[in-house]
Amino acid sequence: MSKSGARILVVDDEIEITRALQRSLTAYGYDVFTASNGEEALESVAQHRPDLILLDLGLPVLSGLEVCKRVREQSSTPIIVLSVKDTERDKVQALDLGADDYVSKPFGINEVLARVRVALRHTAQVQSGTVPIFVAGPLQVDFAQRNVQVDGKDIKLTPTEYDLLKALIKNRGKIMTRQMLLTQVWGTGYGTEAHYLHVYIGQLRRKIEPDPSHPRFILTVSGVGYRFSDE
Amino acid sequence: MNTFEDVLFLGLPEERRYLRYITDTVLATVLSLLITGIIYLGKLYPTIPNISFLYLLVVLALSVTRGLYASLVTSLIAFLSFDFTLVQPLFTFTIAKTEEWLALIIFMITAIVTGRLASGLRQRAMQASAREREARALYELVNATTSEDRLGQQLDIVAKAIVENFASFGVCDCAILLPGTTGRLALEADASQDVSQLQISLDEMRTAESVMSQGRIIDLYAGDEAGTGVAYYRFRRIVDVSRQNSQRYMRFVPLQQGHEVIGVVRLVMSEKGRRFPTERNANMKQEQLGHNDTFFWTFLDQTSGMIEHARLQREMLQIELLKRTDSLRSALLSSVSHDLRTPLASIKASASSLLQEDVEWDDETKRSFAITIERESDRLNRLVGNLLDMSRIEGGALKPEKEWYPIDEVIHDVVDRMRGILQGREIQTHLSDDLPPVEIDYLQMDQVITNLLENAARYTPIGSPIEVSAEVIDGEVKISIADRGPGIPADDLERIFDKFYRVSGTPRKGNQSSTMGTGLGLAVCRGLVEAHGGHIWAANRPDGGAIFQFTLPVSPFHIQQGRQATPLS
Repeated sequence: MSKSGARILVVDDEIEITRALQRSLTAYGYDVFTASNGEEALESVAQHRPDLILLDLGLPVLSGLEVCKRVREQSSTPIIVLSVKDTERDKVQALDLGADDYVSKPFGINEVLARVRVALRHTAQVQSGTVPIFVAGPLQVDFAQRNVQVDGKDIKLTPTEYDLLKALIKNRGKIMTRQMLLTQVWGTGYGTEAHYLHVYIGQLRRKIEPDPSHPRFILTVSGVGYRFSDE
Repeated sequence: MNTFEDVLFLGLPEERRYLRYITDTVLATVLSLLITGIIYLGKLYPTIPNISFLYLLVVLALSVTRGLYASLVTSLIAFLSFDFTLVQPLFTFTIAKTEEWLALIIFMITAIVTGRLASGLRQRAMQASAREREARALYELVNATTSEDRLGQQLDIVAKAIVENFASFGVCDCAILLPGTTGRLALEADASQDVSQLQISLDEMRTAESVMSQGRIIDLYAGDEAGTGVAYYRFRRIVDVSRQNSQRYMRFVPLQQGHEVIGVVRLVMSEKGRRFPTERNANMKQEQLGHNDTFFWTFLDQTSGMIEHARLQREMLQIELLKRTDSLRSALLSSVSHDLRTPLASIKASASSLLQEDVEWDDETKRSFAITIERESDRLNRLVGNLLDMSRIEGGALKPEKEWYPIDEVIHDVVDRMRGILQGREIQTHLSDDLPPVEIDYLQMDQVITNLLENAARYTPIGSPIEVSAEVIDGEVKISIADRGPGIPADDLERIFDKFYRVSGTPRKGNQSSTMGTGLGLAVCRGLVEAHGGHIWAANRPDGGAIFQFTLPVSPFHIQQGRQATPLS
């Protein structure tokens, strides 16, 4: 499945990685531009207006995080961050600064391709307007009526659980850090009580997932947060 | 050398000289008169003309027990009383007959000779016993110090021994100072009190340092004013009450090893110890030193020897440690090099095969090469992860960034991710319902479970089941990963958690490559689990296979609450 014509900017100071990504993405019909440092990246964003940015964090001079921040200031172009850094904190930092998704190096090409697909699809959906009824497999959520159904059966959710589900669906495909979810659902005062979140996610999963121990919709992103997947 | 007074008064303590004159005179007089009385009353003279020899007995006895003075006095009194009461003319002091004079003279000579002999003998006997005591003291010192391992204890023994043995020379207390690693002197041992509670004044320290640099004995006197005197006593907790009034001073003596000064001994001396010990230097001949000085310096030499010995031992240990660290490091490097290069070898082999120009590979084969490259890359990635974790654990830079998570989430996450490696096996998960959230660093726990599952997969036959369970026991969450493999040899149950340890001789089944992994996996698990305050261990299952278990602490609040909602809903 290709999204012909979608423009992707690949930013990485490692030639080998840029080349590999460019080749594969082009083979799938994308239009690929490359940049090897932050300055070039920002210029390219201004010039080519890409639909998606694959951004390496470990850039010389102008850091990937800084690029991410600046791009986010101007637009909501989806940014997928690629990085070797493996501590939780770095990932969370990137996501909090506006990145939508995070891929660890070394990565498999298929993983990147899948994430690119998801990100582009959701951008398209957001641009075409928020859908009042969301459907994904057995799950159906009617935002206007505040009604949730699984396999046609009504599911009772507490107000918090509903808000949580709504936040996840609204940002589907993107990684939501714990911080983001806490802020969106509980407000800014509850930033540190992350365990509330996990408890509610657990409860939510038990209610809407066909197999709660192997979640299909609400996916855990190791140590960072959660993501709603509608694939 | 016998002084004249030593001969006059045998075994005389120094203060009692005047008293001794009196007692000896009285004794001599009484005994002589007693003998005279006996002779007179028994009318033994001139019945037995040689009866005067009785006096000789007394003279001898007193000369041997009391000294020359007593025997001389006895001779005189004996002669006079004999002459007065028994020799004609009676009751007069005339000495008519020559034999009387002869008797007197012979008595005198006898007294003098035996007196000297007796005193000489006694002196020698005393010296011999003193030598014996010294030899014994030294022997005990050597014995006591060699049975102690630590230098501090040894020095304490020495300090106490010095005070014990040299108290008669005016030594009241003894402390030993040694240079520390920075070269500055520090108090290492003291005879009367705990080192940790003793302080040393700046003056004392400076004096000690001078002694260190000059190698000479230096005295330090407390100030004349009462004020300083009190201050001096203030940091001594035990004061010798009987000598409170005497003026004390400190004598700093260098501890020498050859020509080098390796420490300082601080003696607290009472007034009379003025000349002890005398200085010694390389030019001095042995005979010039007084005997007691020699004894003292022998003590000190023993101490220097001990200190030197301790120092050499320390150096040896350091060298040993360096050698071991070195060999460990090179073992480490060669092991890491091997384990990093093995997957790289597979990758290179596959990639270069694909590049062969003169071979046309079919699609199946090409795909197989590609799969190898992908799989080995993953393996290399895991290895690098383990190495990084290990170096972080070792360097103490591992700080779990803890958050509350439900543990089953981690378990499911890992199991899902490892689907490829766990292919063809049945994975049973038994996660109890009342599992409370635990405070963990997600990535680190992920790593622990990944490593354990990887181990289970690697060392068990393909297709054999793996069970993962989690339950609450005794206020802790216990996670177990059990397999149906060959188990672990009982001796290795602890050692497998060591770095780079691999169980030898495990049969490798199927197409598993040999010696996978560096043996770091379990070491990393232990480091990470313990950083979370938990424990990890391995055991063999009664009906075959191995089980790895680890615990994570839980706060009591959460045990009761289980998964119950918090006040926000």
